[in-house]
Formats: sequence, C-alpha cells, structure tokens
Amino acid sequence: MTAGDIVEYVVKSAIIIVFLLTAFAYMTLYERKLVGRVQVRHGPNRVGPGGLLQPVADGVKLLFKQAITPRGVDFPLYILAPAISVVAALVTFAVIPVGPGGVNLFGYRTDLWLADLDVGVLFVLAMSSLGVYGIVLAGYASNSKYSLLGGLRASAQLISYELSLGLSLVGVLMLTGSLSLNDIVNGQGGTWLGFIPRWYILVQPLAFIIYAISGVAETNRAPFDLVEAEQELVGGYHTEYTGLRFALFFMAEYINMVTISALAATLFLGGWRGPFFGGPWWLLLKIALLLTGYVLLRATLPRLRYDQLMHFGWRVLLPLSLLNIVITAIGIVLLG
Amino acid sequence: MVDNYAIILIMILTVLGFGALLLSIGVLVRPYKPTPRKLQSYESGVPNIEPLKGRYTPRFYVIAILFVIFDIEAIFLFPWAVAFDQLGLFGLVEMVLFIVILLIGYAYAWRRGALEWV
Amino acid sequence: MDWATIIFYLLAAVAVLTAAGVVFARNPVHSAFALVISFLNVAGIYVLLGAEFLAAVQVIVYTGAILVLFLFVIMLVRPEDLRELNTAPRVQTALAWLLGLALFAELGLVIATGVLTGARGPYPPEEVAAAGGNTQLIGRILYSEFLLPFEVASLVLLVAVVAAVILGLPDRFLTGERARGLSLSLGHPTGADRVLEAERRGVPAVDAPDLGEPGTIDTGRAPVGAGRGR
Repeated sequence: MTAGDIVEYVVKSAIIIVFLLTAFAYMTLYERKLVGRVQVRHGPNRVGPGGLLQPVADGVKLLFKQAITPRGVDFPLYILAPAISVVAALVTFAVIPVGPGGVNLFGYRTDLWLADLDVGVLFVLAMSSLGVYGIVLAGYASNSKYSLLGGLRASAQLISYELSLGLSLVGVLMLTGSLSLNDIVNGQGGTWLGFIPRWYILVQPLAFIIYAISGVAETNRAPFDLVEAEQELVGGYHTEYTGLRFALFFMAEYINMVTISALAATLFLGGWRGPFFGGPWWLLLKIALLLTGYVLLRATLPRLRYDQLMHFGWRVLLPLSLLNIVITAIGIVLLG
Repeated sequence: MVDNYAIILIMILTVLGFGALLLSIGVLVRPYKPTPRKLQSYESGVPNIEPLKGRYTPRFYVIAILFVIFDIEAIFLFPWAVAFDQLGLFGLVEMVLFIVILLIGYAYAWRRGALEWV
Repeated sequence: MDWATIIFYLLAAVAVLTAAGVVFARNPVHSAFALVISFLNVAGIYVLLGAEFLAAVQVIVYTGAILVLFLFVIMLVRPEDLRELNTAPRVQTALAWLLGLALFAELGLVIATGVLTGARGPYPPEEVAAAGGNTQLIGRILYSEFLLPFEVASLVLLVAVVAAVILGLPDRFLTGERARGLSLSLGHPTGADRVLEAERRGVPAVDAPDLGEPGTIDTGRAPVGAGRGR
C-alpha cells in the first residue's frame, strides 16, 4: 500500500461520510415533509425554497446550543457514547459495494467500493453489535432513571432483533456460498427467462420480510420506537444530551436507516445492478424507495407495547427465520 | 487480504477524527451558562428527591443470556451456510439435528415463561 | 519493521493496557468497557493472523453478546451495593498476588524459551484462498471432520438455556405470586417492593393523606415534598 493508495482511501472514506451526512440531513427533511403530506399539512416550508434549507438551520441551531452536562454523569463514558454510536453507524457502510469494480473515473482507475472483506456480512453484524454500546453506555453514564431505562430497553430490543436479522441472512449466504457483499451482488447478475432479474428477494421472500422487520426494529424506528416512547421514557437513552452531542445520536439513527436500506438493496434487491445501465444510481434509487417505506411505516402505524415487541421478536421472527433456513436448505438439496 | 482491513482502519480513523471534530467544534461558538437547576438530571420539572437507585426486573438478564446462546447458534450457521454447496444432504441432516436440539431448549424457555414480558 | 509488525505491537500494547485497566478500574462499568476495547484489539490481532472468521466471532459473540450481558448485570447492581467487593481477607489478596505472579512467570517462561509452539496447520494461505476463504474452509472441516464435537456443542448450549431459565426465573416468579412478581413496575422499582412488603404484613401500602380536622387549616406543616430536594 503506497502513500497514493492511502490518499485514495481517505478520499473515498470522506466521500462516504459526506454522502451519509447529506443523506441524514435531507432524510430528516424528507421525513417531515412526507409525514406532513400524509397528515394533510405542508411540513417545513419556511427556510429556503420549499423548506430546502431546513436541515442547515437545524444543524446551525444545534451547534449554538449549550452543552449541558448534568451533575453526577460519568463524563468519559458520557462523551464516548454518542461517538461510539456514530462511528459504528458510519463504518458499516465501508463494505457496501456501490458499483462495479475497475471503473475509470476522471482518468483514474478505481473500484466503486471501499473495502471488499471476505467476511463482509459478519463485519456488518459485528458493527451493529458494537452500536449497542453507544446506547448502553449513554443510559448508564447519564445518571438519570429515564436514560437508564431507555438504554436498557433499547439494548434488550436491539439484541433480540439482531438474532432474527442475522439469521435472515443465512438463506442468502447459502445461495451465494460467500460472505463477501461483492460476491452477493455478483450472484444476482443476469436474468431468469430473459427478463426477470435474478434478485434474491424472489427466492428468499420470507427472509426479506424478516430482514425488513428486524431492520426497522434495529434502527429503533416506528412502530418499534419504544426507545423514544416520550410518554413513558421522556427521551430514552439520550434524555440528558443536548446540542451536538444529541445530534450525534440522531445522526446515528438516520445513518443506520440508510445503511440497513443499502444492505437490504445489496442482499435482496441486486445492489447496484438494474435491468439496464447498472451503476450506483440504481442503489440510490433502491435506498430511496426503502427509506420512503420507513417513513410511511412511521406515518401509518401506532407504536407497539414493549411486551408485544419482545413477543414478536422471540416467538415469531426467531422461529420463522430458522424455518426459512431449513426450507432453503431442503430446496437447495432437492433442486441441486 | 489484510490490505482490505487496512482500508477499514483508515475509514475508522477518518470517522473518529470526524466524530471528535463534531463533539469539540461547538466549544468555539456555543454559550455556557450553567445554573444549579439546569445541571440537575431531568425529572419532569420537580426536584430530584431520590438518587438513581433501584432494582429492575430480572427479565433483562434472562433475555441477555438467551441472546448469547442463540447468537452462538447463529454463528455456527454462517460457516455452514457458505460451505453448504459442498455439504449437501449430509449438511442438512446435521444442521437440522443441531437446530432441533436447540429448539428443545427454546421450547423449555417458552414453557417456563422466559419469553413472556409482563 | 513492516507495517503489520508495527500494527501488531500497537494492538498488543492496547490490549494489555486495557486488560490491566479491567483489573485496576474502581468502577465495574469502566472495567467492562476496558474489556470491550481489549477484546476488539485481540480481534485485530486475529485479522493480522489471517483468521478473519475468528475475528468476526470475537467481536460478535464476545464484545457484542457476552459483554453486553456483563454490562446489564453490572449496571443494574450499583457499585455502592457491593461494599464487600473491596474487603477481601488479607490472606486471599496475598494468595491472589502469589498465584498471579506464578502464572505470569510460567507464561513468560513458555514464551521466552519457545518450548510450546503451535502446530502448523495443514492449510497454508494459498489453500485457504482456493477454498474461497477462511469461513468456507472452517465450514467444510467443522461440519465433516468435527461433526461430533459440533453436535455436542448443541447439547452444551441446551444445558445453558435450561440453566439460564432456572437461574434467571426462580420458581417464586412463576408460582403463587405469579401475576404480582412479574409486574414489578419498572419506573418505581422501590415503590413496588414497598407495596409487596406492606401487603405481606397486611397493612395499607400507602398512608391515607392526613387532611387534618375538617375546618382547620394547618399552617405549621410544610407542603408535601418541600425541603426534600437534594
């Protein structure tokens, strides 16, 4: 690895970070607009044309907010927690291929992914399991009962749905025979009967449904947003955070949504491949559609109770994902 | 192969730098006017009368332990899945046996109410 | 010295330092977090060795699952409740030091003399790459040659499930006091205890508010809750 390579990877990392931050900023606006539409109102429309500068205004406002550190907090962990959340969220994207390899970009030959790990899928799971620490430590370090309860609930929810999330991927891995996300995208190239794309969602529909539901639960989004059930928990694990420290948690949540959508697109919907002109735009389109699904879920569904949430994860999704694995294995053995 | 991890390392360092920047940049511009009331932890607007202390339901422990066990099971499934094309029917039978044995434990936990949450 | 060696020493140094932190930290949550960092560095060392799958397992199972369990347990038992933690008998402390140093000397001796070197596996890097990767090879070997240990592992996990349920949910949660025992209010944990205790003794859990004699106004009494703030 030469110095030039290192510069290339730093630039690529920076591009990914900037992309994810922009996606985060405009996702907040898009969500508010769309939820507004569903509720027959306009949503933010004062800052800039059609409210387009609203995310900037929000960011600047948060920047100028006082950073209140309540008495009795465990400061090192208190300040580490949001950083852990956001780092785990951002780094996951490093293994997602956004396009084909060996592309000429401004006369410079490069691959459209940052890293192609042999254990890419496991890397994603590992990062999402590290993200739990941001929440647990925030809950503990804040020295507040709402934070502690919110943190506990959130982490119990995350670990419960992590199981079915991980197990739902096993079917795809059996079809591909590889944990590398690049191999998984390449396995979905080509078509059946000349026009049906060979996407894994068509052979693994149950797995996709399990993944989608667990993904929503993993990102603490409605209808699984018990973590932020303000009627009972105030703000959950980030009750005691203000200003940019709070913004980091917020950022981590939205970036996780983008990453979960990008993974769903990569694992089940053919990644950057499309019926024609394959490339990053297809991935972007799929991510945008999945994110719209997220927002519509939030706009239409009421929040579950905590016992319903745990029952659903342990009693429905877990057995279903095991069933899916066995069915897939039988199918592969029978069909060769 | 290790090169790919070097890239991940670069990414992690970049992200860490970025996170540190975000956490510290506000110091330059934001005001800081603490008052004793403001520094209290949140309690719906009334003074805190009890230090944070108490006991919580043991369900959280049970869920965490069950998670550890089933997570290990999931980990066993990954190498099996990627090697499945070579294992074939044999692989299917042994994994069904593995899952069935674990499902006995799952059924037991269910029956004893470990998966109930009220 | 090439980059891999430098990174190895960095990872090893952080792993050892944080492991020391686990022992010396006063706050158990800090100990657990130091252990998280130590484990992550160990995972990094596995990557340097080319054991990618092992590194992933290290992160997912050890840091992602087992240490979360540790944190759950530690967080909910406040350190103040564990006064006896730092009051071990002197003999015990001395013995612990002695045994620890002996173990340290043994390990140092083994490393320094190189008596014990790991057996070289039959799979050089080229063969691993030909099999499609570390994970594929592990899958192929684990599920053919090591079939029996694998199935026995499921029995071990089964025992663990049973033990977890029995230890975590003692019978009193499930028999007579079923409904009540399981509905400990999370928001008011101590309150729920007081209610249970009061019911056991057959007295009302909450005193009826003393409204005073009708027609009198008790100005001498402070309003409820006043003066209790800390």
